[in-house]
Amino acid sequence: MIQAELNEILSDPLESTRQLSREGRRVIGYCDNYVPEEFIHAMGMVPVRLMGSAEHITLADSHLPIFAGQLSRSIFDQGLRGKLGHLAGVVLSNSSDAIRTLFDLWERHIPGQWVGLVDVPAVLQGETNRRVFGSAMLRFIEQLEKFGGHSLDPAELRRSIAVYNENRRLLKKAASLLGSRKLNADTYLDAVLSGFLMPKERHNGLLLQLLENAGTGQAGPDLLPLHISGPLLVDRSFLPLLEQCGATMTSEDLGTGSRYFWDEVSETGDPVAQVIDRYWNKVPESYKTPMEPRWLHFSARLGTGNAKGAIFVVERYSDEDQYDYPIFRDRLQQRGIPSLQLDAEFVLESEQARTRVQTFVEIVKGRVS
Amino acid sequence: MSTQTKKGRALNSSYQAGNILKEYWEDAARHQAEGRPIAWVSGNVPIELFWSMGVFPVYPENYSAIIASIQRAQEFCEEAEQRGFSNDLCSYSRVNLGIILGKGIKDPGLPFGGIPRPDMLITTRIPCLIQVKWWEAVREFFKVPLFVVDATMIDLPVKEHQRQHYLGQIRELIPIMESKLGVRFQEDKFLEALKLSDEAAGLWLDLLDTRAAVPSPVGSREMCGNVFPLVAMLGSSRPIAFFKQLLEEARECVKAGKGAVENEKIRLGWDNIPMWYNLKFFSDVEDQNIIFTYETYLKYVWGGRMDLSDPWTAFANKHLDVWLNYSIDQRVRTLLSDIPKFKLDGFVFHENHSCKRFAMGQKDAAVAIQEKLGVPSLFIHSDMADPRAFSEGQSRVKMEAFIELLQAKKK
Ligand code: SF4
Ligand code: SF4
Repeated sequence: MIQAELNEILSDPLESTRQLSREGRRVIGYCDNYVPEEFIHAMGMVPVRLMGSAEHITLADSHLPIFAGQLSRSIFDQGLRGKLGHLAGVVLSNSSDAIRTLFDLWERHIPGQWVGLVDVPAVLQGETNRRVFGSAMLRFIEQLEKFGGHSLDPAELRRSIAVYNENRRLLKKAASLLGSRKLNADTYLDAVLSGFLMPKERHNGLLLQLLENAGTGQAGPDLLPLHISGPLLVDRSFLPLLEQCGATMTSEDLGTGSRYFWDEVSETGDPVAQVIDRYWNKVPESYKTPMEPRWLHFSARLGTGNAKGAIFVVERYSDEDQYDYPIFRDRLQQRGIPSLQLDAEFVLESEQARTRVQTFVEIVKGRVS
Repeated sequence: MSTQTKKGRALNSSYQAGNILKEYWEDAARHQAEGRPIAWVSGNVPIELFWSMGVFPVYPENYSAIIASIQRAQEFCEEAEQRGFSNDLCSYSRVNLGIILGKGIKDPGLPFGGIPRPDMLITTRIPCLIQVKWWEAVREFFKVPLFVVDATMIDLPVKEHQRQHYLGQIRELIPIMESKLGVRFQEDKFLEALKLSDEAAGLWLDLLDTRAAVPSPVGSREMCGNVFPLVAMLGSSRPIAFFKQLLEEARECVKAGKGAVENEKIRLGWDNIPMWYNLKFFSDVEDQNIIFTYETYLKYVWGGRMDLSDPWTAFANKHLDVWLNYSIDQRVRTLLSDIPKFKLDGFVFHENHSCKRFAMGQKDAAVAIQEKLGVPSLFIHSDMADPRAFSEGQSRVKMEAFIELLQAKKK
């Protein structure tokens, strides 16, 4: 029943967000885990994630080189083709060079749509960067207030924080059920992804139902437990493929997964400052430095899932992740954990992926037994 | 109008460039042998600081360009790729990582006896994020301290909060360098380095400006060979004498109406890093009475002027005011004002697979200069160091067609 609902939402992500606009909500599309959704939510708007698509790019190629990557190219293509016209606005960030470029392009070519920028540093270290990170977030609030036509109400923000924290706790619960094999990997992924496309209040309700029913799904005891890493995993055919190859995901540190929801906002003290703190301290993404906290999160997740190997699903042209892979691979190797890198451009090229995953699973199984 | 002979350098002083490069790498090795500290740095680091503190700034980027120019980049790129680094990554970094992870930085087969080992790694996000990731990978190997200077993209003029961001980090970097490298910051020495830097930059920019003359005294191929001291030596006295000589010669050529190419007919601009393994691309064009006389890479990436009545502000402005750190609007504005000044008939955009941030926004720029100035452009898809990305035949055909178009337009 819940699965059917998830299917519906994820089968056409844009349509799901369009529905919200039809309901009269002010929907804001954002990209990147450093966009402080709590602020947008507290302004009475609904932040939804721009998921891009695997569709053939038509208009964006006149502005972006192929190597800007599928995510930014497809988002911009959707923008140029008017497919995001239902959004009240768009928020981009200074994350990867491609997404930052998107901000410039949006301003130049989609002038009718409000676009905000979260211009926070890439270096999450040092007094200066900490201060600049905070003031960049405050500048983002100013942009929002100007756009929203009213100021950010601290009481509203507290409520938003509570909603988002609850969402994070529920998702963490789901992650722990995934680790103990009480929740199917594909259901887990669908549950996480769907949260990007609806108001968090509604998502919380859905997660509550899902978690109540968890434990009934059978993960199959002989499936090899694996950790999945990468900036984004939106190809829903990947986990079934994994299962067909005799393995399952029991932990992840995906950008569209636990890296997104892992950290909560403290609910005491000044709410604005606490939100900023959360983003400064969160598990860093691959385009932030230093990488050490991300490695710690990676290894902790992998440990909890009791994973016997790791698969890195790396978006082509996501250079940040491409640089990290050999480092993480070698560190894992030192701990006797094998890994595999798969290239994706939103979707994995399935036959090639199948062969490689199959071989990898056999190798790992051979080591385990 | 007189012309110079076709082959050879247009400016005699350009022949010194090779020696300067050699001295630099030999000095680096000597510096290390004497027990003094080495930092591996990258483009747009606060270079003057290093020279003033006695820390030798070693540029692996430059080393990768050298490797590319002697046609050896591919072997090191492949080495890095075999070790898991994707062939989509910046080829400077692949060459460097291929050297490190292959036979090592001291392999006797390497130019100048290899690269001195770093005592510290210092980089910046100003040109790109990739550099930061590359340095993280290098740190994994050398296990030395790493410092990254961050910046957000700018529109000119640089905003106060961006300046403060930059300077705040420099204030943090100085004591870290002092404690990790055993050196001492002295403001008077630093200010002296700024003076030297500004003088060199002034000479360089004046030199570039002479190339607005018709005919142009010197083309891109030669100037790409001359830029190195600007990249790596600002803050030391070395570039000053060299640039002064180049400038004097270029001025004389302009005065005498002497051009770098015979009977100059068409003038072109170039965007992004050149193909180091194929600088012949420029000279082949020059053989046809055509000159590349403007490059964003030479004008806006390395050295800017500083108003030293307020040195710290000027220092921050200069380091943030870098093409790669410009928004697309800023890039477009700059081209719209420079193209008429340099009287360019056409523009070539190198869609450099490696230097992605440089390549972002090129298409918008091409449309703008066509629409606002009627200046057509050509896109060459290639790579600055990895020759596998260059398609000789295809580029040649495209270039020929482009030249025909420009010639027809001129008639
Ligand atoms: S996947 Fe990487 S490169 Fe692509 S948009 Fe996200 S952060 Fe940028
Ligand atoms: S991507 Fe460009 S700016 Fe960055 S390190 Fe490579 S060549 Fe330099």
